[in-house]
Amino acid sequence: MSRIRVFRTTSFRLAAIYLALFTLSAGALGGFVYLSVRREILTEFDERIIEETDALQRTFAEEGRDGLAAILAARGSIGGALLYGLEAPDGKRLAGDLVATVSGGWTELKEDENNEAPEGSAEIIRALVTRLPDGSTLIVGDERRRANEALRGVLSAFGWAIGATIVLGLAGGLWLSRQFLRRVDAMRLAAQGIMAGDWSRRIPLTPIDDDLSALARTFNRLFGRIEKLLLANKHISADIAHDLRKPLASVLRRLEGARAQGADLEAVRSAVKAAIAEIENLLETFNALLRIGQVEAGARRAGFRPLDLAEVAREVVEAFQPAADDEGKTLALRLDDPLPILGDKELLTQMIANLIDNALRHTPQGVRVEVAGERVPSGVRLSVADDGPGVDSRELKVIFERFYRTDAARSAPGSGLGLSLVAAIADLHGLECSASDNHPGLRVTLTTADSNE
Amino acid sequence: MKILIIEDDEEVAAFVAAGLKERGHEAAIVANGRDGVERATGEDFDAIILDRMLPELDGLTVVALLRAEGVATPVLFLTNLSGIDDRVDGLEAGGDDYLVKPFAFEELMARLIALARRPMLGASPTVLSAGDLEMDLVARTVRRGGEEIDLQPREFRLLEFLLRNEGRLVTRKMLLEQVWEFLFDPQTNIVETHISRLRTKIDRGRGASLIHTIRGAGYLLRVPNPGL
Repeated sequence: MSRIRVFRTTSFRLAAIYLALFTLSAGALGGFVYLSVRREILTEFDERIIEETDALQRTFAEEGRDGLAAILAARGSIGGALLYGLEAPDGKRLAGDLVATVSGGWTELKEDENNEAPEGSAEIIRALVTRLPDGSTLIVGDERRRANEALRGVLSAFGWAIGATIVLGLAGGLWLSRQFLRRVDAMRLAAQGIMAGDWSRRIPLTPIDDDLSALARTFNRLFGRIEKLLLANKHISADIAHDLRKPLASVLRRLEGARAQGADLEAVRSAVKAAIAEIENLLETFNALLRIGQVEAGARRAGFRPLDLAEVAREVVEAFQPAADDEGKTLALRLDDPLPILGDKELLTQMIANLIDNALRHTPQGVRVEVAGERVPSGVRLSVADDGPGVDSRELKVIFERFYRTDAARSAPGSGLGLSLVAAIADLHGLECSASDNHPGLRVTLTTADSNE
Repeated sequence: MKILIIEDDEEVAAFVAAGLKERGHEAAIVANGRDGVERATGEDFDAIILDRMLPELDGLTVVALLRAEGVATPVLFLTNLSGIDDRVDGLEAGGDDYLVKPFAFEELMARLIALARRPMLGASPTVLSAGDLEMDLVARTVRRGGEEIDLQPREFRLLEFLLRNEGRLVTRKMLLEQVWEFLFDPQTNIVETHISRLRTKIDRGRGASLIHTIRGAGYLLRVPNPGL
């Protein structure tokens, strides 16, 4: 995966936009905090000087000018303390280093160069000049640098934080995009594989359960559907050709036979009648194929309505009951009420009818056919089971395929399309269709597919 | 009967018209929707056979236009498609019945007769009867010769449909559609077994049979002519 592609990915772009917005808002917040802190620091800087001046004025009131001078001298020798100056009314320096340049109020002084800044960078000192009652002048000040240092500390802490955010954000964005790209690549590869003809190819699923895996699952379902349709398509033409050739050949034989017989009107009539019956059967088969095709195309989903599958099953079973009785078979119903489903009533009716038809037609007298319905976590489950001869276990998987007829069923009438239509209708309704051994007999089960699978 | 055939497939139209004439009915053919609307609004017909796919105006539009014009002539749709969606659309647009091509002529005929003789709306009776058989649609009871007969709900519906079409052929397909709402033909003999049960209850040991089987075509409920 090339570097350029990483930068072009959606997740990287999102990460970058997010990062830019975050940096901007962090910058704005930082600016605001910086201004507040700066004001706070400067105020505190001044307040410290004002408080000290007040204290020194009280000392002057109590102990006089000499007392004050002594205290200032003592304080001046303590490192890190404030800077002081005391001048007699005649301008004579009594204590400290600071010299008044104004007669009162705030001022800025340049620190004496011989004093403490040998490198030449003259320190700026902010000082408060106060006239004492006896005419002497008290100066209290501090190096401006101290306030600036505090501010610089705040500023650099901020810079580091934002820098780290950007670096982490970029790295995170890149990492996320790489993850994203890796999974998108998996999808792309799977799709390319399928386009190249490997229809069983699927997108590998990651253990992470997110929208991307949901997308992958959806795609896998789509691929499954395409594969199924394609396989069905591949078989269908061969199947049609194979299954329709026999009756057509038979029609041809009958008609040719009739022509050969020539004058015998009765024989011609009976041959034509038989040919018509064969052709009607063929048309039925075509109709069944068309119907399966229509159902598989899925257009009918638009007409889906909420239904009770139990109600549908009950009506179908009721319709078949007398016929089953007459054939000496038991048709039993065991249902949870209701079995809500979204679907097409006519199709579901035909689906259940085909299953019962199938169970009644391929079983001997005395058999018991049970239609059972229950609610399951994913939706509903409907099964039609008989205790007849059943279907060979190898054939269970293929009985839903078009034209498939078990050896035992080949002699019975029918197109071999009944269960294909069942499968198509089930699929349209999101029902999974499976055939299993009922020990003995055949059981066909339709279960609402878990929509997450 | 006088039937209007609106159908652009000449072969089908000729086949239907020939069959109708053979049975003593009149048939008029038009080949597109626009002419069909004109003809149907200008003349009185007992029923209209209408193809779904037509040049100029399609079948659905034709029937909608006719109904908007106040033409109440029963309409039977013909279609090449076996989709039920089309059937629902057709009936919703104002059609009265629906038949998928190819069809047996007897099937079409039975449906046309049932349609053309359909009683006008508003005059639906509460009691149906044929000879000494009487069906009370409100009390849901059936009597023959004054004796009450117990019917299953589906048998009741079956008998009701036969009674409403007394003297007319009803096909297996018509019964499946109308009585069971099955738009397909199951392999199992649903209709036959129900008819046989109904016959046992209605006819056996109660004098003349009312329910008759027309081989290969369908069933018929008819009161035997006492003079014969």
